[in-house]
Amino acid sequence: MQEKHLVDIRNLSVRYPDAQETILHDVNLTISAGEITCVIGESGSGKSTLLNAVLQLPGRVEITDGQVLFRGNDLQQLTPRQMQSIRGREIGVVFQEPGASLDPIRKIHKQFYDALHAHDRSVTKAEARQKAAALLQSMEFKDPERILESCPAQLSGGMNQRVAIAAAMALEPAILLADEPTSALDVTVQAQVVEELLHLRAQYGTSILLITHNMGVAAKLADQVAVMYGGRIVECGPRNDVLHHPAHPYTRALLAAVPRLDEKLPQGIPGRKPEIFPERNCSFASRCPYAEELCKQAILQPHTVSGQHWTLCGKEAPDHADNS
Amino acid sequence: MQTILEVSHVTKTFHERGGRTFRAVDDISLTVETGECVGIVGESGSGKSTLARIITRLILPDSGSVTLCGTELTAVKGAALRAAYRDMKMIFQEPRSSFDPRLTLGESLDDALKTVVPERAQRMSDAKQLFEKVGLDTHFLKLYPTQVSGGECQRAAIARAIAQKPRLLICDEATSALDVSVQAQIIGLLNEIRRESGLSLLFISHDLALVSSFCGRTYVLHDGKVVEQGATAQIIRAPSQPYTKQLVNSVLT
Repeated sequence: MQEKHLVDIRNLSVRYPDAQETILHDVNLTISAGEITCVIGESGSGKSTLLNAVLQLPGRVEITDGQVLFRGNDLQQLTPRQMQSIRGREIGVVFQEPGASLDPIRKIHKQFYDALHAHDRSVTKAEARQKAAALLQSMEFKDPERILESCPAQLSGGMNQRVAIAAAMALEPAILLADEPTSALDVTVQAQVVEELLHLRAQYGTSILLITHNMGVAAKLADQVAVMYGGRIVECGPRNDVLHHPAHPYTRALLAAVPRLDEKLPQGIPGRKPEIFPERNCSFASRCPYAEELCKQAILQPHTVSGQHWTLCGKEAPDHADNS
Repeated sequence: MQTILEVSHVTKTFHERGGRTFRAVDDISLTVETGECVGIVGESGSGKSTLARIITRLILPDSGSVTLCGTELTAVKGAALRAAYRDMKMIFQEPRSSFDPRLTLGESLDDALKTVVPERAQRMSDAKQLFEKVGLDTHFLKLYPTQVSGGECQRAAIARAIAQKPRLLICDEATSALDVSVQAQIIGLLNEIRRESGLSLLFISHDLALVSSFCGRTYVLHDGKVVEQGATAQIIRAPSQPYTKQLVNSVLT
């Protein structure tokens, strides 16, 4: 059964190395080969921490409980050297600011060579260049040769982000982790990046774990959507189930806050996000319109809504209104 | 209806090093009527913020005029300009950077009130009222900008902006740095203030869906030009420009 999922996150709890309080509580998420999973949520929900836990960059997060299995292997049991060889080659990554992963004054073809050569000493510069040109071509750059001879400082933010995605794909990783890759981009470029990610998945069969606060991006890309609030995944399931038939009160409130083209005012969520979220019980109870005394005491359990769709809210949804 | 703001054939060219020029705003005209909420939509580099800075006279246009409540802003200075500024306030994307970090929110608000309310006691009670109006508990008056969340700081910025009872409020990406649930709270607040006080709003944003939720009329900017204008509902139903079509397609349905 372990072979079935590429990534299997089990009962994961995480804290920052120098801090007391837990940032992620009991997170469960599985990602199959070739599947696109979008994690949506607002700032402080723990989305980026989840990605860092999968990436296992030293010093970023400390796993206090649970496991992250990659191809059935517990990533925590690997030596730093083993993890380093997986990171980049098997697990690619793209951040919000392309500047975070590209050297602004090094020609792009050299940066592709650096990335490939780090994992395979036998790669020649000509091979690296050919690989880079092919990737840029498949990402619909009009003039890949000119891009290869440019430095990131000479290109726009959108172009650099697409170059960063191509560079992350150069080693044909099994999974691409992307933390808000479209959030710094204009909508037109954003739409292009979404198309390109879908194309890369179709061409290379890459799984994608994408963190975003943009529900529009999730709706276009995702096979599976996970909604985070207060360091927990509060709801998870196939895209249409979660976005059109949300079961958790937070998901419903979040979707009602998204502006749409219906000339209606988006609805805010009353109250403010707590500074520290409760350890064991519902993190949304203090703002939830349906909360009862029980919600503040009960220990959270996932409840199946239908098929693969589950939620942490145990209450019968007061209305199953279609949110589409 | 009375015209609050009239922007007429405004052009602004920036000169870059090496003799190159960049026309950021190219012959733009627009109007805002009393109590109206008008949207300006465009991607980065379309000229939205340059236009906002021309309207608020932070920079002068190369040609064209800006008229606010009958005063041609581009032609006045000194006391007349300061008087005109009282009718127009602006809210920016980063609320924290528009507050002095060394002053409490209450002290910043007091500075804005000083020009219109001379008595200190009256100012104190006005400040409390303003904070209540924007949904902040009065203990926030004693807090510093770094001690509150982005949404709370933006509420304080709105309180400060409406303190002098302006007739036009210009919001430049005022909710773009906020989470969607907080953005929705702020939009609700702005709409409520507009309804109560008859204030006009010029709402600049890259988010067409957000603009469509409460702006009756919209101008779409691209490369410094107005490429589309009219009733927001009409633009969404039948976008004529490729750029506008893209904007419509990118919205969650």
